[in-house]
Amino acid sequence: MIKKNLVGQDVDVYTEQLENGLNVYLVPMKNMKRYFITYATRFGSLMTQFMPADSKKMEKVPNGIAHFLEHKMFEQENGEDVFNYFSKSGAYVNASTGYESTRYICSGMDNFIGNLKYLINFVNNPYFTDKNVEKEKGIIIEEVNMYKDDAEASLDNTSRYNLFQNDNHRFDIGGEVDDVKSITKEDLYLCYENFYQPQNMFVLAVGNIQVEKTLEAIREEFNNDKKYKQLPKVKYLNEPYKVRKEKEIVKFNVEIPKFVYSLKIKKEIFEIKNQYLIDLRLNLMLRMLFGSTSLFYEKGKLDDLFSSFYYNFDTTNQYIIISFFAETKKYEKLIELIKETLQNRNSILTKDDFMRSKKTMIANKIKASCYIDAISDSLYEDLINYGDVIYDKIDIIREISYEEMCKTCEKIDLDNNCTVVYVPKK
Amino acid sequence: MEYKVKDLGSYKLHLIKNSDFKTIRVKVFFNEPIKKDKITIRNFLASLLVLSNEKYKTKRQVALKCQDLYSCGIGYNICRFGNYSNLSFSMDVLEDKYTEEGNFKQALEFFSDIIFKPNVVENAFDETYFNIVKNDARVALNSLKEDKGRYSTIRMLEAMDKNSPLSFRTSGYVEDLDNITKESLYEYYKEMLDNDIVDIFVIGNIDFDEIEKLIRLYFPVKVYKKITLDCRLEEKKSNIKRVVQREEDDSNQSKLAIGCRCFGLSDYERSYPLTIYNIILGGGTNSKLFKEVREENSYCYYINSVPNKLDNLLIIRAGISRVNFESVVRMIEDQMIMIRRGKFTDFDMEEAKKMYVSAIDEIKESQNDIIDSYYMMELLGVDDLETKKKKMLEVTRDEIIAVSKKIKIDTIYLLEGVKE
Repeated sequence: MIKKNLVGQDVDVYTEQLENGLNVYLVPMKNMKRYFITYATRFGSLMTQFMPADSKKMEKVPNGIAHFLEHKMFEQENGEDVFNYFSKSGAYVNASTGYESTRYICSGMDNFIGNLKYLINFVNNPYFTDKNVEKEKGIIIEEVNMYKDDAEASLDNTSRYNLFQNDNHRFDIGGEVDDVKSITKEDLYLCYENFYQPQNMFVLAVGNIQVEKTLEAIREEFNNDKKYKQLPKVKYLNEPYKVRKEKEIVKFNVEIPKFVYSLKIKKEIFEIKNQYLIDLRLNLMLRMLFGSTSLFYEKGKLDDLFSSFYYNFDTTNQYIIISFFAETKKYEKLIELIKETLQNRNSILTKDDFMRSKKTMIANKIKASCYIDAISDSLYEDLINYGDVIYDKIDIIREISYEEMCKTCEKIDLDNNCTVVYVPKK
Repeated sequence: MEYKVKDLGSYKLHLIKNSDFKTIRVKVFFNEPIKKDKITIRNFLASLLVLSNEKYKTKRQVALKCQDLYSCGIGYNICRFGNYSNLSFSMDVLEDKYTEEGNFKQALEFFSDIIFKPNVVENAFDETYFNIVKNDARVALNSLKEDKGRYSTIRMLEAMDKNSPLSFRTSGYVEDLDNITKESLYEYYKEMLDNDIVDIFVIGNIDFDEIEKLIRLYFPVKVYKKITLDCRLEEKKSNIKRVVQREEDDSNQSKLAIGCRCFGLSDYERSYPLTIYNIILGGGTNSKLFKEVREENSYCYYINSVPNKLDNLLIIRAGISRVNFESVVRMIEDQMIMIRRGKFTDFDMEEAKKMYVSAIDEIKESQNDIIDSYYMMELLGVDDLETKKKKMLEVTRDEIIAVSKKIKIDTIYLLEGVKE
């Protein structure tokens, strides 16, 4: 295995690629009793159109299928209950689906090798029948309904729907109730066979683990099945620059109005290949302009412009989305202040602030490095967002210059934006 | 892990040496008998103290100082332990070897300023931040209904017993908010310092003597106090006829909250068999409720149960469709009856114990959880973690059945989603 150090965090990452294409990342941590295992595939809610490697037919599956598949992986042919197996050793098991990936996780204290193998095994062996697929629909529909009632989740959904014209980011990860109802076992097998292939997947284990034994167990688990297989060609529709709808006001079951104001920015204008560098510079900027130490935040509080406020940062293959969320009765004024702050960003971003923000970012990374969940999440995000672990983040942060950040920030164009406001019904 | 507790007269200092982390965490607990009309002002005070103080007058200045101290974190939490309202302030900061010499000492002084040097002029809190906190609190209290899970639980508890602390709203009441003034807040602040029982915890790779000196320097609590009231709520008789309450809401999903009363439990039963009973009933993905209501009948996405031993209470919650309300309630009752009749396997029991032991071991991987577990030992006199594990593993089937017979559904509440 190849050993590399996460710079400045006293953590080593061991990596290996198996012959079938599966990538393995192992992070032994001294002093920790617990382990945290992730088995993941780069298959999420975005991939609904694809051409299998051995076919010329373009397949189209319903929205929400990746999430449905995640639920159904817990079904075993021999009728064994997956939850039962893990609870025998007091371990926790769960799964979650995102736009670009699905992950199955297990954390616990005992039976590490057994649980690791079982986790890989149940994800490697699908068992879908008409009956068990039908049965799951009630559960998933309740889940979809739960998010529909949540004002913030719903607001976020509406905003994404208005930002994008073609990109699947405009749909909820779980799909709509009708999508869920339409899903068949054939759809599930089709997606499974295409995307749950070793070269599209990885195993990440962090915590109280022994590197050699872990790798051996993983190899064993892949001995008989899951040979190397070519991946399908996913079709991503070209997403036009313009937002679909600039402004929408929705009456919703809320007590206080809430809004999202989002910018849709073309990635190519930054002329930087390294996505992490773009993200880092923009994050520093957002922190300085809108974080807890910003003049914006102070003015917003003193003038009672919001009761809660935060910003978010997202990327698609073509765009960067910066979103500002707030709960406020004075949304027009607040949106004006956000726009004004962005407009005047060059004069607001000072070098002192920049140095302090860098220092804070580095300190936060060191703080997080004694928690296995935090290390695990951070590596997982790297693998999904950047394709590989970024080992030298702390060095990259140290080296980034004020001028570089300003140069990147100057390029942001503010004209392509979208506002969604949720107002009380009464 | 080395643990030392020292009675400094007006408060107890608890020191825990632990080198698994790179941070030092300090937590200061204020504990007082809960009074319904003081909940709002207590929340108000805590949120104001962390925003503004004599030295760092604005939230921005506080945040800047935190960053200067290498991302030192400051926070507070208010919760209820039975008859008591517990307010804690916490601070965590990297050890000096990751920052610079003297950083921890500075952070401790900063933390002390937040608690002990409020932004007060002529016996009244500074107006600017007083108003900010008031506005924010009003919004938060008025939007309680937006968190439907929490709202339905509160409504259920209020239907169960609106005069008991068990139904008090932890974030307070809008009616009380209007009466809070800059002056009355300062009065309350002084009252709190004078009357609350204080415990201070420090955990990290620390030198006990050095920390004790620093804490004595920066935490000038002077008054000596004594706990007088039992934490546990007095047991109440269940309603003779169970209460069923429904309220319509413009949403897709209905939120079910069921309150069960536990009666006649011994201290041992409360701490041990009740815990195992709950895990078997609705404590996780391997529980009877999860399997029956979700996996077998597809009636919900989530369903769970939580015991509250200090309140003699067990709460069951689920997100369901209104048309299935009666069926789900019947199913929950059936599962409770099954446990009463001993219809659970040794396996169920073993798994529940494993789950508990895992949860106990997990505590050791978070500085905050370690502090909280020692504090519970101090406050409630509960067993230490190792004893807990040992005793829990010895819980028997008969003990679980005995407990199951002392639990009764009292109140059923449905926030009924009527959106088409």
